[in-house]
Amino acid sequence: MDEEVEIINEDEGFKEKFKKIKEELKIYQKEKEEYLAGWQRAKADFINYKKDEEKQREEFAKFVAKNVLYDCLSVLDSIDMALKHGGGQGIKEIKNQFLEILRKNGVSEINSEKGVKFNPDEHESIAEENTENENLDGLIVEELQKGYKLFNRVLRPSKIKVGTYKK
Amino acid sequence: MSKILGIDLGTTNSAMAIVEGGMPKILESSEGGRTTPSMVAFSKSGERLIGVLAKRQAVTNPRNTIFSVKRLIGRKFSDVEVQKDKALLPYEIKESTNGGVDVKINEKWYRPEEISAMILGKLKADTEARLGEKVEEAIITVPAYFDDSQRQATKAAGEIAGFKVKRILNEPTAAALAYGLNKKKNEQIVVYDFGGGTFDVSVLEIGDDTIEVRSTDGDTHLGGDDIDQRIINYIASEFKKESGIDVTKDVLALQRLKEAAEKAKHELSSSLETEINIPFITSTEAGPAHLQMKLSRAKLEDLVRDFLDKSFEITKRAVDAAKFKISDIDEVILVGGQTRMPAIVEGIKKVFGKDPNLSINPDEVVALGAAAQGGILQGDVKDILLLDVTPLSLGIETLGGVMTKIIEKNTTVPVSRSQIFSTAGDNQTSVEVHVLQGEREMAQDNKTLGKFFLDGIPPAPRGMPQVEVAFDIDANGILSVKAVEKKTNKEQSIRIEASSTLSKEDIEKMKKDAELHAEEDRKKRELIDARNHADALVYTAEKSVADAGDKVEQSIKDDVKAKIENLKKAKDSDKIADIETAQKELSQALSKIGEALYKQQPAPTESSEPQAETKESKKDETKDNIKDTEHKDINE
Repeated sequence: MDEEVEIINEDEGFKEKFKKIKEELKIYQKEKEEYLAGWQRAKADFINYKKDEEKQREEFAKFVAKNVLYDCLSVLDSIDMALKHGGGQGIKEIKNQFLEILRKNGVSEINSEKGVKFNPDEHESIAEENTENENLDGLIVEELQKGYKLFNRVLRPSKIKVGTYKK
Repeated sequence: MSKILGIDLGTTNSAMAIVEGGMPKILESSEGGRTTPSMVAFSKSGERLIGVLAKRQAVTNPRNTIFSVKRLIGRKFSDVEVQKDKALLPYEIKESTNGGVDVKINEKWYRPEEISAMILGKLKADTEARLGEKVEEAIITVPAYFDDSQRQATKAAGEIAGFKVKRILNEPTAAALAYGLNKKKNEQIVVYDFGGGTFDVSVLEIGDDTIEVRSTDGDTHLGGDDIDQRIINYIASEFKKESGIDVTKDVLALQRLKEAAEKAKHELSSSLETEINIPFITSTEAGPAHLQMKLSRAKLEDLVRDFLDKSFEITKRAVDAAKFKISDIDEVILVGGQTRMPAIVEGIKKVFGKDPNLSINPDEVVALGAAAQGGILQGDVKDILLLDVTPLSLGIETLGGVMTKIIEKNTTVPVSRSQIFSTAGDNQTSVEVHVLQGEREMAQDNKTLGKFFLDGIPPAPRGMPQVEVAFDIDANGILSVKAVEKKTNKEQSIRIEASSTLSKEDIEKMKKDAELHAEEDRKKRELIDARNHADALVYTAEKSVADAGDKVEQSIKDDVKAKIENLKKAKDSDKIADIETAQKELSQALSKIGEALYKQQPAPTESSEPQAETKESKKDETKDNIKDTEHKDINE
């Protein structure tokens, strides 16, 4: 009798142990999955970060001279003003020489001639002129200051006078 | 998990940030700006323009361009503030059916939260375009004095824009978070926020895990724009005195003046005087007129002194209202671009007797703090993965007793790094790897962690054998160093468990020492580098003379030999300049051997000479990269 009970008890103890181990295994399994997921995520984060970094570096290299180029624009403005006041061929040549340097660095002029449609993506209206011609409404009447782009971004918008239709 | 966007929804400008790699970072708008004007406009054709685009047409479309909507959001139309602003705003507002405010654009009425939602919507779209993923959750900041209705309306704006608003956060609290001040316990903080159009002061108290706003004060119509206007007025009036011309009548002249004034203001933050130059500003019958004048920092401060004094008075008032004494304040944080002005920093220093916090860009600090709050909200789950960093650099001793770093300090562990080294002497068959920890340039000033020899290197001229030394630190901070001779694959390694047992004080002391001795260490290092270069050149030169044999005239060889002796002598002196001169002379003499050898060769093609030279110099470069591992016993 005693022996049998003993065996049953052992069996139960074994079952108990087995159950415990199974439960522990479940916990470890879950932890393993968590760690693996975390690891994969960290690795993916890193790969993505590297890609982003690369892209940003390219972008940075492209726009690194932005501030210097922006400051140069005030010189161009002055040259333009000098030309308006009859600056002559010499000044014109200086302007071309200067523009050439800017172009090499990715700077291009924004088209804001009279008659072009006012577009705040590239132009900034700082004055308006009333017009009786309905067709001139919302069109540029005068370019007051040239605008420039650096690659695909606006470095400085053109300052323009826009036409406003008034009956 | 998608990211939480931190948004500083400002009166004049807004900014946004996210946490990336544990650090908050500003996101640029689609136009490339780090801030976005808080402006919305409808063009005549009904096109909706937001941000900088709205700003670019504001002058000619004032009635349909909405700015400063933050002054109206969540307020009753009958509020004194609203009535005051009504007179100043160029667009039309009216009382809404529930007593709030409605804003008119293109004959249609909008609620202020709808306008704010358009701005938030643009920030959302720009973020998603930049990150390439959906962003649905946001933390939006508001002034500490915003009441419940203003907070609710701001939250509603976020929801209209498609965000799940995780939290409405006080702007000063966000600034404190950006500086990590939430980790300090029981501190009193003043946040001085001089924005574009508003001035706010808040007094915060950091408790055990809360940040409480103890008082707020400010002036809703005082900001950087007022300062700009003062400068413009001053320049214009000075110019009028001088030339009799009123430039404010000419739109283009005024525009150029505005730009110049802003530039001058920025420059005077770092220099004491600036020159304002606007050639051909305008023209009269007498011909073109040029504007040229000097503006000093002292003059600028004079011009705006009353604004600054007023802000300091308000600041003191806020501290009073919080029932604190000035001496109770532990930290002062500066927010808003205008706080870059040295007179503000000085003034704050005078009021509180301590330096304000200004290391974080004051235009961005609130958005960064909002993002940091998002990081805290998300961080709960991720905290099990706390990674350590190496507090000090690890490296080995190389030729001349120099410490060559392999793993720089503050590198996140686990990490592996390796570098290739070589021998310092001909037929050297063994190298010593002396593992060091510390920031000093010379090996002897750093801590020795261990040493071992790698022998059995096949005999070869100096610089030829390649020994790869690899450092590996595991997640528990245990360092393993391994050296492998690449040709024979013979290796030797050491395991150092004690690399992280230094106490905090030791680490700090070692770092301080390095700072203290940085200059003298650098000089020592330069001298040794120069000597090492000289040494390498002497070696090459001696070899060239030997190789040249009879093919080169004796006089040339004698000249080189004399120059070698000179360099050897110079090498032992402490003067880097002497070593460099002797080195240059030897290089020149040495090139004559090359020339002589060329002349004897059967006529090569013309281009081959420069090519050969390039090759030679390249070789030298690689040699420089391969650092010579010193081995005292065998070397020389």
